[in-house]
Amino acid sequence: MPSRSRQWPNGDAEETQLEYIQLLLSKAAPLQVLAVFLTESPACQNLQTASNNQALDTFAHQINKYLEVEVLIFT
Amino acid sequence: MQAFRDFPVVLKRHTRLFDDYLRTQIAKYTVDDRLVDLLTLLTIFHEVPHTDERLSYNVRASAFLLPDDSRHPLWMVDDAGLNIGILLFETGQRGLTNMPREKRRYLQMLSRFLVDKKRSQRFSVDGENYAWAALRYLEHISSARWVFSSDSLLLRGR
Repeated sequence: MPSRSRQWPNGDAEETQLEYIQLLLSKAAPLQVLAVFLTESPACQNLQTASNNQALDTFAHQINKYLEVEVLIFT
Repeated sequence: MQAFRDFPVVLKRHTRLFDDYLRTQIAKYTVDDRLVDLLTLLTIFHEVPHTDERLSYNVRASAFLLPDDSRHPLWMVDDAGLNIGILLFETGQRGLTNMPREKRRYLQMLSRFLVDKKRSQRFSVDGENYAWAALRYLEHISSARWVFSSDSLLLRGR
C-alpha cells in the first residue's frame, strides 16, 4: 500500500485550483449553486476572512460571471 | 445458440445484483460530507483535461478531502468500501499512464455508475452535489496552509 503522506511531486497553481472549482460549478444549475451558497452562509463568512483572498476574489468573479448575478455574500 | 437465448434476462439479473451491491457500498459513504465529495469528484475524474499535470491535480484534490491520518475512520470506511481514496491517491503518485488498466477501468466504471441515475438511484451525483463539492473545496483550499519545501515538494500544514 503506498504511503499516504501528503507529499506531491509538483505544486499546484492557484488558477488550476480555481479551474477545478469552475468545472464543478459548471456541472450544477445556477440556481443550485446559488441555493447551496446561500444555505451555507456561515461557511461563506469564513471564506470572507480566509487568508487566501486572491483565490476568493477570483472565485467570486467567476461565480458572478457564471451565475450572471451579483453574489452579495462575497462583497 | 439455444443456450444464449436467455442472455438478456441473465444479464439484467446480474446487473441488478451488482448495482445493489454498489449501492450498499456507496451508502456507507453518506456518513460524512467528505466521503460524499470524494464520490462527486470521482465523476469528473475523466473530464479534467488529460494531461498528467491536470489529472494528477484532480487526483490530489480528491485525496486531500480525506484526513492525513490513514487510521482515521473515514479512510477505514473507504478501505472497507470501494477503495476510491487510495486508488486516486495512487494515481496521483504514479501518474495515470502508469496505473494498471484494470484500476483505471474500475474508477471509470464507478464514475459511470454514479452519474447514471437509473442505476445509482438515490446515490446518483447531481447538480447539488457538484455545488456542495465546489463550496467545500473552496473552503478547503482557502483554509489550508501551503508550504513549499526546498526540493519543491508541496506540503500541507495546519
